[in-house]
Amino acid sequence: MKKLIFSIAILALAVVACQPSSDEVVPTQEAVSIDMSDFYVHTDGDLSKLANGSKADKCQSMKVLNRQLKENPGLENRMFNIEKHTRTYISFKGKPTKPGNGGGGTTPTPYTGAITIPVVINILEDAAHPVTTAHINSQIAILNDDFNNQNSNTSGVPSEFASLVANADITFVLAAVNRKASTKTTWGTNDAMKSSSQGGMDATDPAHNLNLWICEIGGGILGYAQFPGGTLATDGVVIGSDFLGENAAGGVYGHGRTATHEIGHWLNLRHIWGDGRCRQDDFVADTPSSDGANYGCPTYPTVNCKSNDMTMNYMDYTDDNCMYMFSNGQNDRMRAIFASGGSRVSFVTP
Amino acid sequence: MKVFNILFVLVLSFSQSCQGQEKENTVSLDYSARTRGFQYSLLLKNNVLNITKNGEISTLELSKEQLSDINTLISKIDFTKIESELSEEKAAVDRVIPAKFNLQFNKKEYNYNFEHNNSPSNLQELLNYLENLTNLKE
Repeated sequence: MKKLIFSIAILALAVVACQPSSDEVVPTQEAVSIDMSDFYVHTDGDLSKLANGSKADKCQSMKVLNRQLKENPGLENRMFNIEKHTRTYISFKGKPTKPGNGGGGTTPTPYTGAITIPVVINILEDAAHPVTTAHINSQIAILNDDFNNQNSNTSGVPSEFASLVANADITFVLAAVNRKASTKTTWGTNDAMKSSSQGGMDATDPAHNLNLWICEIGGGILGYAQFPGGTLATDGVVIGSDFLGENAAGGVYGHGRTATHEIGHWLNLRHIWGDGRCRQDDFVADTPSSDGANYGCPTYPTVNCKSNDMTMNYMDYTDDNCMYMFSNGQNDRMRAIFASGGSRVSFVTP
Repeated sequence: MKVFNILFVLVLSFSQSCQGQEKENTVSLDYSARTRGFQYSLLLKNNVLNITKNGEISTLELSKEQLSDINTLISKIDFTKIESELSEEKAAVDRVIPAKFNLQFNKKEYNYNFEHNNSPSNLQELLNYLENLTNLKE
């Protein structure tokens, strides 16, 4: 009898050993029905294990993931919830191979109205890299072209993708320009430019404005963004001084598409290749699978993962003049965060 | 004849031993980092160092002293304590530049993913040493 009890105890221990503990991010029943199984916010090494590994690998990966979640648990939870909310609104157009919530009732849809985004530009002025009114105005015009399907290069979209070109109907309006002299040549990417206490400039009402910081980032970075769900005080996009608007100093990156790309992230878009191998998704149904970024100005077709890459998408890494479309799936994803309960709903509610 | 046989065996053993030692100290390093607007690669193979940064190329044939320094730097590294450290979250919003590190040394191979310019200190020391040998600076 003792042996039997001991055996059952061992069996039970083995079953529960790899179960997530209470402080882990656990999808709710609702989330499981939406299918959050491929959601990721963790390191590269873990991703390969989660995507391809055995159960033992996954168990080990969860341990590593949990260590990272402990370092920033709030952010991970917020991002999980935003993704869950987004999928609730776009799941009816979800991936055919992973059916979403098939329940009855009204199907939620992404926000359908016109969206206006006030833009506050915070410039940390370096005399060697001037930011002029012409740079600023051209950047706003480029954003309005790109987010309203008015980019003149879009006529070059291959027929394979022509029906997928989206008009996001998002208008950017210049709300304010703030300037502060700076002699710092390398601000880095630790958000120091977003804080007056670190020599930078504080954000202006980020719940109702898109804040752009223009400065010398350094280290080879053209610009960087923050996904929805991050700290409000640092919410926005940072652009290198030479890459704002039509800017001769920016070379092939001097036509304002760094801002388009980074604002895509700010609106919850991932890189089009999913930052991983073929099986790692950008969470958009109509963008092809790929296993890496494209650079320069690729000649169509560029084949990866047995399909043609959408190299002209704003969320790839090509030159400014060689990116000229968002897809309908990306548009739905951006608009989901403006729907009721969405992370940027404050921009469309008075 | 016996003496000849003994000498032959000794010479053969000595030769094999030297060859083995030479092979043990062979270093091959392939490091690359890339993002939109930035491309960097460092290749060390067959005593030739090749660094490319945003299309600018620098090639250098290393001296015995330099190779000895490189061996010393690598020998100091405890690879059992090094793990890949690349934040997917930061890479996904272009906040860091992903870098791949591949080293073959003493018949062993080491592969890591790091953030460019933010490798573990002793690996970064090695990369900085190599870059300083050329005229390409960060």
